[in-house]
Amino acid sequence: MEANRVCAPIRRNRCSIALVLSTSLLGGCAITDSQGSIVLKVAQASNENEQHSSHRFEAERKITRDFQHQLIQKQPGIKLHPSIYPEESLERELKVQTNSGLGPDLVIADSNQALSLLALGLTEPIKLTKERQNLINPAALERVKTATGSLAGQPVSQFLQLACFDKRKLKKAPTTLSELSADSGKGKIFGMVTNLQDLYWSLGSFGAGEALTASLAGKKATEAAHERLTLWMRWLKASSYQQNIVFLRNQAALRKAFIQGEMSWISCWSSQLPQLRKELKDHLGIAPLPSGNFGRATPITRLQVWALGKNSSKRQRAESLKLLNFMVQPWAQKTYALKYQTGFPVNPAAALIVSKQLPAGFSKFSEDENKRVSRGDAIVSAINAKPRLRKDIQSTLNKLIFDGLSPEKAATELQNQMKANR
Amino acid sequence: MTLSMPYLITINPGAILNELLSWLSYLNRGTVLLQLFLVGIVMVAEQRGALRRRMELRLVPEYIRVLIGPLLLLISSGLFLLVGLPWGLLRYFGLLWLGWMSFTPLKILLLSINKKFPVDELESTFLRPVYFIVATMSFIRLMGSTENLAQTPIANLFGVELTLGRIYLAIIAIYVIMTLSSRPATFLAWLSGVLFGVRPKNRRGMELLFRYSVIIIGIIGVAYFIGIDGTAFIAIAGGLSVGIGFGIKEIISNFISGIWLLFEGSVRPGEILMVNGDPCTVRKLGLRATQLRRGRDGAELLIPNQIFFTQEATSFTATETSRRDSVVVGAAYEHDPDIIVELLITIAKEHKKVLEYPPVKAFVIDFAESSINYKVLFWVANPLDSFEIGSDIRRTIWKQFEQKGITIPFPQRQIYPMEWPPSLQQSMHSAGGGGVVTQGIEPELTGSDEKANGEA
Repeated sequence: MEANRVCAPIRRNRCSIALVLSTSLLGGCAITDSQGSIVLKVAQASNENEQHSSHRFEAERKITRDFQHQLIQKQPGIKLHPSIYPEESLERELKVQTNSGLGPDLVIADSNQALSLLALGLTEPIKLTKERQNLINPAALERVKTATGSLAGQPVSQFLQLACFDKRKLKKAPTTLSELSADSGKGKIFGMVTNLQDLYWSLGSFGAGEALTASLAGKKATEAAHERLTLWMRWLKASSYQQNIVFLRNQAALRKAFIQGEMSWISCWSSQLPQLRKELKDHLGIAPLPSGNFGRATPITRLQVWALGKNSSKRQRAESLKLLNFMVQPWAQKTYALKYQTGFPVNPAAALIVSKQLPAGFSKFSEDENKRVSRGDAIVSAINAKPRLRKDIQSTLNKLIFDGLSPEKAATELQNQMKANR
Repeated sequence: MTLSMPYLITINPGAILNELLSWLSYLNRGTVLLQLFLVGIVMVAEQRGALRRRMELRLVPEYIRVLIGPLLLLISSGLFLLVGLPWGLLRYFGLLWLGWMSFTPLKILLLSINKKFPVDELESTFLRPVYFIVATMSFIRLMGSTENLAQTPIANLFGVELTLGRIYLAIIAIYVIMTLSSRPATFLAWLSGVLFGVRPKNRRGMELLFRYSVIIIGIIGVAYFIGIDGTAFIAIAGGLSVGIGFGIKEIISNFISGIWLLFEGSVRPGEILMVNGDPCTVRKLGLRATQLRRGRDGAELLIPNQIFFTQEATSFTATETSRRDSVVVGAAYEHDPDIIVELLITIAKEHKKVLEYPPVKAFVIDFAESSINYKVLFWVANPLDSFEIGSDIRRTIWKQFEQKGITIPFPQRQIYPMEWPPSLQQSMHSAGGGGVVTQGIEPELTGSDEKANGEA
């Protein structure tokens, strides 16, 4: 009888007891694994810009997996669990998760996305000590700074725009636009993408960036600057007429055509090199983008920024900050830049060490070069932050390359759009 | 963790386990625990009836009262949003619960619009599967990247890497094909009927054939979708042949027999077959067995297809549906067989369901111990009616014989009790008479008479 009296409430509340016990048990499991490390959820925006395909993220997943294993050896207390998201759906997905308290501990994105995520309240601003700030290239830090001066994330790496070529088809990459034109006349096929971000490198060869900067500032460009922008438009138009210069709508299509052997040379991103290396192996050549008569090419760079998620627990936040600190130290910067060869270190000291050991396209990149191309990065960032402007510019470029819009009209239209949508 | 059969199948559930374990890291967060705790409290309270027991709520119909729990969760999520706490989990569980509980009111609503609406079928084949898919997808979306998880490789089948997403999609696609294949099959069978004049009875067989074809084509399509190409098919066929040889021989045998029977048209839904002397109607020709309904008692019989394929079967509907049946009757020796034969023919002919052609025939079949036996043979249009018609004819024969003074003799047997020890008289009979009752001795009856004699 006595036993029954004791057991009755347990039997009545067995569901509640089971719920509490299982939650406690799972909570206990969640804090640490068998090695005592904590799991950090990482949301990573894909750099591949692939359309939906069965092999989407394959190369990135491989690198991420490898990085996980590398990190465990150096940071045994941290176990990363990355999830790769398509760039276009990152914000949407993070919103759903953060609203539920299930947001990631760390978000890896580019500088624009990091700023946008912070503005949407999906990430927390990061506070870096003066000492830590000194470890990072000031230009890179500037790109993640909000209007109020807070940092949307911590830059960890920098992806560059490069020229990728097939050594079997092209012995040497063209160093100037004239060489590119000459090689295309010999039956070598060159591929480019019809968006401003991917074409911006060629603006530098004509000195056309100045007109865009002025337009974005709402000012009238000088006659000379306008003329140089028109010259760039003429070059684009003339290239579109050439049989062996092909313009495709996105980087993924360009890369696919290159892998399938339909192209000899394409403009590419360092973040996409693993996929190209896997397919072309030793036949893949990497070079700086060709210069023009006016000046050197102005490739765009994309920052890899690590931002703090909004829902982390105290311990998860502490470990995330510890990891962020580790990632900008010269050792990690040098090691990972050399190992994966996809990005340039943001730590100037590490950049100096690795620049001589990286392939041709990277080795030319330096802190000075970073400053030189920073105008392009600012223009492209400003455009990317305004979807309407981006769409209008895309429309103008499409009309210039594929339809009958004249270079003169296109130059004027582009400047007007930038002034109107700034 | 890798479980493998060399060159054939490699299963690697490690990635999935890692993903599942990583979800536990959310339990480090107070806001997540708080939401889960609240969900748990409301669910337990609902289960124990605390939310529905109140007097004022008893006036509300049950199907409305079950919505209280989910609505409480949704209201809580709104409050969490107002105070700036994460609220999505509460909303997710609230909506999930609300969705589940909405089936009943939805069914009632549909039935009120149209009483014949197949709500149960709709619920089991469409609503619940869709609910399951939406619930799992939204849960995974909450927990991490759906796309990332979908592309996680978990198995390798004949060199083809199978990702979780493809396997999930393949399962859904196969379910949809299996569930919906009957619709296009019915349409094709109907179209065949219209275009080529196929009889309704044959259409049901064709419908089944079309359905199997749609399923097979669908499964092959799904296999191609998940990346299993021609080479892999050959490898699978090789593996299957071994499997068929050893393990699933009977299943395949039944399946092939079923297909063959459909092609042959001998066992189609609607056919009438004799099974162990009983006429049975074929209801359904399944993958493994044929379902029949026995006319005698309405029992459902499930007979493996290969039985029809390998053993003799009597059909009354293979080429024509009429069946010949007979009634046997005996009449006393004193009656003229010609009159009896004529009478039997007339009786059978007069029955409404007896066919005029082939004509009714009656025969003298035996000079038996106590009667001359006759057999009247007649044809009926529907074999399932023959039992009833036979009974009708027997009743009419009895009445007609009664009217016309024709007797139906039956063997009569006289029984004499024996005494023990036998009396002298009995012994003498036994020895000399051979057990035959001699004249002058009355046969004795059993029962009380026997007793009366004993006493005498």
